[in-house]
Amino acid sequence: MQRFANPTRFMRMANAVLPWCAALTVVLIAAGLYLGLVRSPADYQQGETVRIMYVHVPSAWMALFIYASIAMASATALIWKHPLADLIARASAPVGAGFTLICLITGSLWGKPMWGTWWVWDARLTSVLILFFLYLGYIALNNAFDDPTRGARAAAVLALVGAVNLPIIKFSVDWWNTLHQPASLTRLDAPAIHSSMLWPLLAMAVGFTLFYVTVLIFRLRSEIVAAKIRNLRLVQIGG
Amino acid sequence: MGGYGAFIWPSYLIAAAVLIGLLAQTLVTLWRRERTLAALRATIADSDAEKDAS
Repeated sequence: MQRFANPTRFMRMANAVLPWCAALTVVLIAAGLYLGLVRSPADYQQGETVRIMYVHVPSAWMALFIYASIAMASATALIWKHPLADLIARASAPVGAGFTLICLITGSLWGKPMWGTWWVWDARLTSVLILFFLYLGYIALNNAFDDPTRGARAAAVLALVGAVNLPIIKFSVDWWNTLHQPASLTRLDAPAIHSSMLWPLLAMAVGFTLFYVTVLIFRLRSEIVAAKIRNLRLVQIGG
Repeated sequence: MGGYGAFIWPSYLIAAAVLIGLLAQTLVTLWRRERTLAALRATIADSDAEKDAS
């Protein structure tokens, strides 16, 4: 862990994997789109609308995964003062907010033909909307202070408090009555989904994960450049 | 799309717009910051050279 605490060493490694991540992102999302839109069958109950699943479900997974990553990075930053942890959390937040927005909009577009409504204030939908607001709050708080260290600390506390929402989202369909269907894939027994639908779903999920890693590396590079600019400006002011 | 194209295609288009937008915003910010850093380094190097000359 400490080996990667050095930003220069970490970025050298990250830049080496970046072209592979970017290339695999394109290949997997292209494969997922082809399998999902062309090769996979329509669902026996939901018909063609099931194709929204290939973009909605991986987005929902990414929204949760990225928030969990931010919470872990925030804990690492608060406890061990890891120099990269704050940067990873800060760089991840807009990507997580983007995936949450996709999840909410595509869910609404799926809900209208299947449930007869764009939106319903049930536990799953409301808790995901709260997740979106948590992302926005995290980003706003991180940028609300002149001193980036204070902003990062305040945002890290918000990220940790907001992490309580993650199990609520995951188990909301089991704990409360909801229009939203329960988990089909992440179950203790075998996934309740045929392989012709499982493969495009997994291709899109891994493609989205690699997209996150690719954008994260670019954003980390950008954050490190911003820190260098701040330091040079302080040197300039100091004469 | 079985009459559901009005729901399916916007889902994919909105997802593509958000992801491409995120990537573009990231790359433009990185490019701007790298240009600012290069300009700042050049300014500091110039002022250091002036100090050394005087």
